[in-house]
Amino acid sequence: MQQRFLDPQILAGIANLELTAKTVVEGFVSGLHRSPEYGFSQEFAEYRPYVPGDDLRYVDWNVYARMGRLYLKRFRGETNTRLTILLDRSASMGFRGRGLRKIDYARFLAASLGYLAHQQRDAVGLIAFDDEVRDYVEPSSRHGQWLKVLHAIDRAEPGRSTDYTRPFWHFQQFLRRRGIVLVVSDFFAPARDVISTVAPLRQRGNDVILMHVLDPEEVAPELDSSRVLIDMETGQEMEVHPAYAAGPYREKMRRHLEELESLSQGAGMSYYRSLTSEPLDEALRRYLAVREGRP
Amino acid sequence: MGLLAPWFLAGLGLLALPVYLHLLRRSRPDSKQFSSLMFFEPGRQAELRRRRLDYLALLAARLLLLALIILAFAQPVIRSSSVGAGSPALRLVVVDTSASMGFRGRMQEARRIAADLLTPQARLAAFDSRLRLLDRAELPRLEAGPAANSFGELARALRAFHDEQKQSVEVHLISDFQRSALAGGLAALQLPEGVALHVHPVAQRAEPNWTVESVRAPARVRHGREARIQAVIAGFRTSAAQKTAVLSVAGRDAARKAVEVPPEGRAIVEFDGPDLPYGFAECSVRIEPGDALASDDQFLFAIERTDPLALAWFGDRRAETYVRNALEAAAGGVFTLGGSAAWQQSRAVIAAGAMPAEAELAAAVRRGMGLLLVLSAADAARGRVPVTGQKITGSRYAARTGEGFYTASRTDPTSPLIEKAGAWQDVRFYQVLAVEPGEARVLASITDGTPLLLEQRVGEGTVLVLGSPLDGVANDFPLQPAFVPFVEQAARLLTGWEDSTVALPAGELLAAGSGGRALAFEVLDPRGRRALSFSESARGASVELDQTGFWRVLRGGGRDRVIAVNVDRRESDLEPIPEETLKLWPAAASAAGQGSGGAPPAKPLALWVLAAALAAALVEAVLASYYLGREAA
Repeated sequence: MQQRFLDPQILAGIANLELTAKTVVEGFVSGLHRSPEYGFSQEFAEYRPYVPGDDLRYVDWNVYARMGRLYLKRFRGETNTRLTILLDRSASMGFRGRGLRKIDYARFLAASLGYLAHQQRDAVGLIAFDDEVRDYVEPSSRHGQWLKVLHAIDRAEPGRSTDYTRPFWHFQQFLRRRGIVLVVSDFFAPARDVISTVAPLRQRGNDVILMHVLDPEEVAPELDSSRVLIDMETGQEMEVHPAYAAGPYREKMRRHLEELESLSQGAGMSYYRSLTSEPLDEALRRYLAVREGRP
Repeated sequence: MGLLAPWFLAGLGLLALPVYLHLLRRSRPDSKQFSSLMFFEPGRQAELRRRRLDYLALLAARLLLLALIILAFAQPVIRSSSVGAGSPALRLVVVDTSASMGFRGRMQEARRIAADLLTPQARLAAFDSRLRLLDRAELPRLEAGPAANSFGELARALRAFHDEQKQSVEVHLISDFQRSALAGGLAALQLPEGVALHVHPVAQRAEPNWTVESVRAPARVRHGREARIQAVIAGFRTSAAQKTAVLSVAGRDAARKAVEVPPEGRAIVEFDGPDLPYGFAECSVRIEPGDALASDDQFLFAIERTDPLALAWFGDRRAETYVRNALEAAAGGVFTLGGSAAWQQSRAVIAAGAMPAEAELAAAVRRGMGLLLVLSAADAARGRVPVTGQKITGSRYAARTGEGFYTASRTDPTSPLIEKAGAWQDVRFYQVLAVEPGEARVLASITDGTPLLLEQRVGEGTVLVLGSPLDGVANDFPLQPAFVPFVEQAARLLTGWEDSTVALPAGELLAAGSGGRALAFEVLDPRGRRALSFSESARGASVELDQTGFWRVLRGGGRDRVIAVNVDRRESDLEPIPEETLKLWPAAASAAGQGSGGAPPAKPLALWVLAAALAAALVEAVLASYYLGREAA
């Protein structure tokens, strides 16, 4: 039942980004405890089911009122970390195939993860970039930080072409303290270039998560006839036959995804591919898994 | 089957255009934005699949249409074997004998080339202003003549020659190819089918040449001191030079003047008052030293020294006073106005209310006497104009019509009586006799259209009829400025007075009406031999002035004339036709004449090809419409 609220199409109908993030996170959290196979640790900082003997002061009665189950609401500030979301807002992120625009999906993702981190009292920051850093909110856990991040996410609209080199050079200037770096992008660049650009963040002690946002149409384009495709970033035009899109293109895309995943793992980074037609919970789960590994 | 303009076939390259349009410029597929094209290669596979010809029938129709249009431009012809097939071409060797061929060594070279070309079956012709077939034996005696040539005339002559021969003709033209002979351009040189032209130039560059280009002198003077002779010395492709102009009168040098001729320019030299004998004086102006083209270094002309020409007067004394004073004022003693006693010895008669016996007068007019009839009330009562017999229908009185006066509202400006008299419109006419003009030329008429001044030929004479008396009452004409020049011009017209000496270029035809106004005359050539008899000229025969010198035209009654014939000055400019034009000429000629001699005439097929193109265009339209409908569906 709660999974319904993680469906991107439904989330797209919610105009308020904060509400969207809350809906996602709370739906996700409630889903966590209905799914024992996830085996999520009792060490989770904020929510856990009530067990006899627990202090009733930490019971979240609001959740109990909605769910009919008891959850402890605990705040463990001593486990705080820094989450920096690098949000790709290049022109290609404006592509919309069969689901949402990728930028919308990425914003939901960033907002949800940001909200989740904010709930855990983590310092949250945001860097929006295309071929240059376009927006920067320094990670912080101060009061009002969440709204700053939220507004920055809300402002992220597709801009110009992607160029990882220059923005990531700037990131290294900004990210002086270690933490979790979440890169949300469609990674339309050669895999080796992407990894070689991002890897220094990992080498500086950050936990790097590559959130690869793709539209299903990009992975498996379906053309009923020849089409002239126009590159959203360069404006280049190219006529594409359906057979090519169904054959060689998919093969190239598959190799690209495999290479990206393989190189990410090789570089000690976490890679997760998310289609815009898929729910957001797996992304949240992946984030929590990474965070779990941090002190 | 052949092509007259095969270079148009280069246009077949345009056939690639429809192929390109069908292959590569098909209807553009729908476009769609995509995040990145990094995994697409430049469409090789798609393009290969697309590289197929769509609408083959339509493409074929378009290719056919284009090819047919290009073929039509290439002027396809089909050789007909019906005319001239199998018969060898007749070789015609044409030698230019115009005056310019007299330039240093050109004629010798032309004779040498002609001798080489003259095969046993070939024919020889000379050409200047006309084509003359010659006997082969005349070749060594061929010399340059005085006439100018014209290649347009040559083309016409060759067309006539070919029509007579009924076989292919191979023309070899030996000439200096003067530019001045190509006045009509290449278009005038079209030759008939079956005539092939080969050119043999004997001049390679423009040679310098001086000439006495023209002479301006009076035709008739009373005294030698009245003669003012003006000669123009011209240089073509020449540098500045000092020449001596020599005036010769009756075979003796009368005056010499040095003249500076500017480079490629003209200089004018004047001789005043030479000593002229009575009668016709044969004169010339020549330049010294001469040059390589001697024939144009001298210009011939003739001046007649004569007594005043007499006009006889019939009529009232008041009008006589007006006319006499006008003649003395204008003509300066050239004309005398005599009485009626010896009118038969006069050159013209002026009758104003009186006249000699009409029959005698009419006979004299028919023999060449001039007559000015000034109509009066007496003529109105007679009801017809004497001598000419035109009907007088009545009188017009301006006072009775309430208009006050008439003016000469309609005039014929081509007549010297109108043109040189000028302000006719200021003359007030109060009484005008209405004459039915009949065959006469109306030179002036009054406001209501009534003829005022008529001119009519009667035999060899001229009759002028003025419809209003010169008594100073019926009009104020004698008091107006137009009167004096009118009387002078009327006297000149009636007596046959020419202003300037007559000098014609060689090659002109002298026929009745061209050398003078007499209907019959006798012509003696410069050697004194009769070139045209009275009976021949009366039948309308003409004579070609084919020699330079003084030709005499004998008409009797003291109306003889001397015509000086000179080398045509178009020959003086020795600049040849540009080489590139000369190369075009045989091509232009053979384009019409079907190339080399002996080739059968060709029948053009361009119209048939265009008809086929039209059919292809219709098919293309139908197919295109069909495919368009199918695509829309």
